[in-house]
Amino acid sequence: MMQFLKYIIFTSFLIIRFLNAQQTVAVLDFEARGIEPFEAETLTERLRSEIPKTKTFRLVDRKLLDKIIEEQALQQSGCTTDECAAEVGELLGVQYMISGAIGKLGQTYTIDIKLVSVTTGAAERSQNITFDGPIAGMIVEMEILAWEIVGLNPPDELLSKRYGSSQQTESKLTIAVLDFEPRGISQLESQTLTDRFSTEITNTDKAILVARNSIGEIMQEQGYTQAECSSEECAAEIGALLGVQFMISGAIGKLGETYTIDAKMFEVSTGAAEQTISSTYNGPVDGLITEIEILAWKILGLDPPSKLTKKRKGAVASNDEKGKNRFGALIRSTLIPGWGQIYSNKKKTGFGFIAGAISLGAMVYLSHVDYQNSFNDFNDLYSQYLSSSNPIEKADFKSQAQISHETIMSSSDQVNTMLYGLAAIWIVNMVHAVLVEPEEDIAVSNSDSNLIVKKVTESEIHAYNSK
Amino acid sequence: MLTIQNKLKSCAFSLICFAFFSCELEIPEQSYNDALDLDYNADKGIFPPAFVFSPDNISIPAGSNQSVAIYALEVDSVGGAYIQINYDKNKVQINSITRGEWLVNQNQQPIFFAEQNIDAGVIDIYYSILGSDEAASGSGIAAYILFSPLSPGASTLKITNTTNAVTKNNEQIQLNGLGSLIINAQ
Repeated sequence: MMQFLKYIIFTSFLIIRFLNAQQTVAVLDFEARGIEPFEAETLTERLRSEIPKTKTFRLVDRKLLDKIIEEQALQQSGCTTDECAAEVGELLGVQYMISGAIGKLGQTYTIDIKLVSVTTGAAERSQNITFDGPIAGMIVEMEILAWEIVGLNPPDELLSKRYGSSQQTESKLTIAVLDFEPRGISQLESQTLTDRFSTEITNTDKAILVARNSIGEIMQEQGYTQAECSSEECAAEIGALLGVQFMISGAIGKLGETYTIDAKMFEVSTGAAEQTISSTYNGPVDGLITEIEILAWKILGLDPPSKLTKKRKGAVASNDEKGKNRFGALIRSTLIPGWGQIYSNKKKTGFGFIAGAISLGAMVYLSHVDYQNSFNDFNDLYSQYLSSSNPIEKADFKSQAQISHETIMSSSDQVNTMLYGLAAIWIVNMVHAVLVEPEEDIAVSNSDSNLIVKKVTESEIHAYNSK
Repeated sequence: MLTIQNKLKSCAFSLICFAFFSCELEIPEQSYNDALDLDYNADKGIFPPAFVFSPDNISIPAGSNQSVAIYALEVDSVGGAYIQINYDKNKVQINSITRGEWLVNQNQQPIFFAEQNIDAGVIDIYYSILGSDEAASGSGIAAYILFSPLSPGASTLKITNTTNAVTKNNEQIQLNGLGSLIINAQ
């Protein structure tokens, strides 16, 4: 009997130890963004019911959570920051809190989920899913997320239940767009254009865009304003907090009657610029909307739809993702003298190099023809000199062969001199191509506009922008 | 460390330089040392009329056969000629002596005969235009000599001073040069 009691006590002790060893977690109702709050609650509930199945965390009862929230006069879905979650978690006596948001962009649903450590107040793990399909399919996605957020692989049977059209985040880019910096235009105009840019990014269906207010909230939390966050470091920091893959920042400038748009998309994890794109536009200000919409496609490496390009107004001075560079000029000048200069819009110099090279090339050719003729003559005369058995004839062939030989020497000298000259022109042309900064082309895309297109160099634009 | 672009730039410059500076045109060699070249002979102190060897310098393996020609250089109004050649019997073996085309034309066929004194290392060649045949003029091969070196080393076939030519009237023709052949046997 005593033995049995000991066994019971020992087993109970082990069970208590096991229960205590499991960390506790509470799940806040997910924030609803573009879906009904009850839908968000339902989906959160499904996540809650899946968490115990992972056998990793012990879930705190929702009623207890509601009670604390009520006592603190909070709304579950309003407690979105890590600090708030940690505070509630502390009151609940749990180690971890799970919070998140469910958004809807067009027909696409996004789920962002975070596991926040109550002790540190920091997000220990975050996960996101993008889902294309009916909202009912989100139930399985929530169940899958329950496994993933605790750091486990979801069971195969769960994965097989996924809605057919579900897509992982890898298939679409997650992007946040910072307000474009206004330079010579008003803040309002810049924001409007940024909004249009963001809308068009969504229209490409290749990216999931973080809502502007989410960016604002994060910035507010970090103590930034959009205007202050113009550096890549700041943008990367905000991007990391938003959990996006890419950030887009840029500037819209006005130079006389010419507008310039510069946009840069860079990877948050590496800080490396993924795509840099710029456009110079001359025309009515409303035409900028179309230009910025086109840029939204181009920055994602996509061709803008024709209905967008047809809407273009005014004149587009440049719209080049990569822009001209000195290396491109060098390669061209290496192949054909002057081509690099023409590419760099130094056309006079370019044609000068071409003319010089052609002239010297022609002289080389003519001298080479002389050389070749003399060479053939010499070979004939010399072989006749050797074969002749008549000393008088031999002397005659000899003198003629010697004359031909002299012509060969002088023609060869001429060819070499011309070749050195050509080489010098070629090398000078290559050095020039490297040293001279290329100027962008002017490509008038719409002749309906009566505006005068100005030739604006990239350096001028940057100099202006830096002012 | 150079970037790829800088490396490509260096390559481009190097290629252009290489392309241009490796375009040197070929200049043909010319060597006017033929045995019948008057200037060449003049440099050696031989002036027409003369008898010379062609070629006048030869390098061949010991034991191999080689033919050389004896040229008459602008020996005019010839009625007869005697050519004597000395050689080192221990180093050279004469295999045959044959007539050349000198003084031969449609109208005449001069008498030609050659003797070889192997013990003395001497070759005698005789030319004679007989009867009413007209005296001949000009240059041409007087004879071909086929020989082979017996052992490695240098040796010489030399036209001796006893060589002479006469007119139809038996008058001596002043010869201004008598050539020699240098053999380098390996």
